[in-house]
Amino acid sequence: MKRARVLLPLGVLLGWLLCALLANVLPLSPNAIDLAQGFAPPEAAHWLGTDELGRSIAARVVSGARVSCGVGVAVMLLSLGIGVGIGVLAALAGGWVDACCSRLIDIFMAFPGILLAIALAGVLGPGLNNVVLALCAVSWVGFARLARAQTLAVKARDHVLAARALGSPPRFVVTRHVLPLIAAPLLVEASFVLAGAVVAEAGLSFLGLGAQPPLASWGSMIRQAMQFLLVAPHMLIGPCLALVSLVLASNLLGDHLRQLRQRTGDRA
Amino acid sequence: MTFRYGAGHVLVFTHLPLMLKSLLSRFVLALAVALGVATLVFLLMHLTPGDPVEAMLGESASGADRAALRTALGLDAPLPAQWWRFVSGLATGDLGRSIGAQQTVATLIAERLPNTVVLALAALAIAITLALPLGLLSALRLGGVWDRATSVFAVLGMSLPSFVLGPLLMMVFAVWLGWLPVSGSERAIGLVLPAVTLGLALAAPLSRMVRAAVAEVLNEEFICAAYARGLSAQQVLWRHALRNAALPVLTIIGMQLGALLGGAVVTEMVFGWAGLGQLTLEAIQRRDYPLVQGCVLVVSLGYVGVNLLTDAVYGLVDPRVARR
Repeated sequence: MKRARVLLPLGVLLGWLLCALLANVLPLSPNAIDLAQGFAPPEAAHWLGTDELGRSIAARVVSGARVSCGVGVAVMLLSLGIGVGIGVLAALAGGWVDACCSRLIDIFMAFPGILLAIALAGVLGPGLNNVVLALCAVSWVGFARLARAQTLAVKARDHVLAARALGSPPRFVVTRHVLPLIAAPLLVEASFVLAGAVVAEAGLSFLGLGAQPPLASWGSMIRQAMQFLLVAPHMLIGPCLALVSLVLASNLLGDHLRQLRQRTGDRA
Repeated sequence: MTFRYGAGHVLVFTHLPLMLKSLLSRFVLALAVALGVATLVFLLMHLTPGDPVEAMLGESASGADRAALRTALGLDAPLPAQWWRFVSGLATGDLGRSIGAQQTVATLIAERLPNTVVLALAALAIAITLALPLGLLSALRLGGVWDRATSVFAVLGMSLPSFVLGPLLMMVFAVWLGWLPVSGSERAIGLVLPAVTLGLALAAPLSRMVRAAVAEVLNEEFICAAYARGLSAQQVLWRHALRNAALPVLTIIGMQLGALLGGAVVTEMVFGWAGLGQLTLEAIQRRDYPLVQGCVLVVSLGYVGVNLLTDAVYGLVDPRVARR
């Protein structure tokens, strides 16, 4: 039972990642138009039915995983890099560097993230690269704040002091003595950022600011489905289930990692 | 300070001067953050690649038309001068003129803002009525039935974005059951679905945080001491636990209200609710940069303001805060 609570979300997450990696290799045709088959309800040939152009929704959901996972992972890694860089730098440098970075973090924290992302994506113009850029601009702050606080705590520990006293170069101190100790909370944050980025990408695509047609994205598919809510409600099922399963898996995994950390933290 | 048990707790404002002082310093800090926010919005709009004039007029526009629009928008001035005009305009409530609609940005925003505020407050009310009892019940017996139910509710709620939950609710209650209108902000009943969608999304993290806050307070020594004095569980809960848990809960609500304003953008789009979110999106689609800038700024400043307000209420609820 306990194992299932980890393995199930992990399986779902890996499953979608696999879909994302294999979407271009699998014999799917997410953009094949067949007007005669338009609005077909779910059946054997089309598991999730077809959309208004007769395209298979199942095929589009699988290839939509490419957009969701791609954007999610890219945003997670980029903002992790930027955020941890700034946070660790601020904590270790101290003084005016810390003051500047902290104010910058404060200002970014004062924005409702999704609104900033929407405005940025709108100004930069539609397209997935701009979506990644806009979401990174929002997501790095959480990592930076966390990394700064954690580094401040670790910095005062004896082994870091000893390493610095022995004359280890700062880069060595960071990579060998600081980063390994602050990795666990960052990992927890990363899983939530992944979930958040997947939702935000779908949201931007839903608003028409992300993936552009004919590229399949779960968000733009939901937008399409809403236009035909009265005619073909089945169009909503596929992309909604896909999105919720991926986000749920990511959130559950994050929760589990956090609990695990709290438990080991208590023992230490 | 006086402490009286039995007849209830009497709030004595001996901490008022201290509170005012801390409030003032918070206000100054919030003002600085607001200036930073305004600058950031300004920079985002001016430093992003792509020329707003070209985007607005199209590639076929003549050089003279471009130059005219550039002058009209004040884009020909150097950046620091533009920044100063923007910030000093802000101080007098001037957000510039919209490009598409021949009105000031402030007028356009003032038309839509009430709708968004109504939606946000309704969602907040729904979220609080759901999250407070759920969080409380689960904190009282950690690991119990309510605790598990709340944790399922929280994870589900956080994993259901408004553009998934919204259409699903719409399908069930508007299309299948026909109880509620599909969309629109003309009639009050149109508020139900968007408010529920937004409220549920907010209730999920809120219930979790209420649970954590109450559970933490229940672990404190003064709770033990209250029991030791012979107070009943009810008395301990209402007079000691909840009063002290109110503080973190209040902060969370304040923080969530800001997130709520941002989340309203998508929800408004789903339900065709004519609020600030929809205005922002219309502005983006029309490439009306001054309007986009104004919308983002108003919501962000609202966020800063709400946080300041939370701090102020904080000081009123708990005298200890002012002393820190």
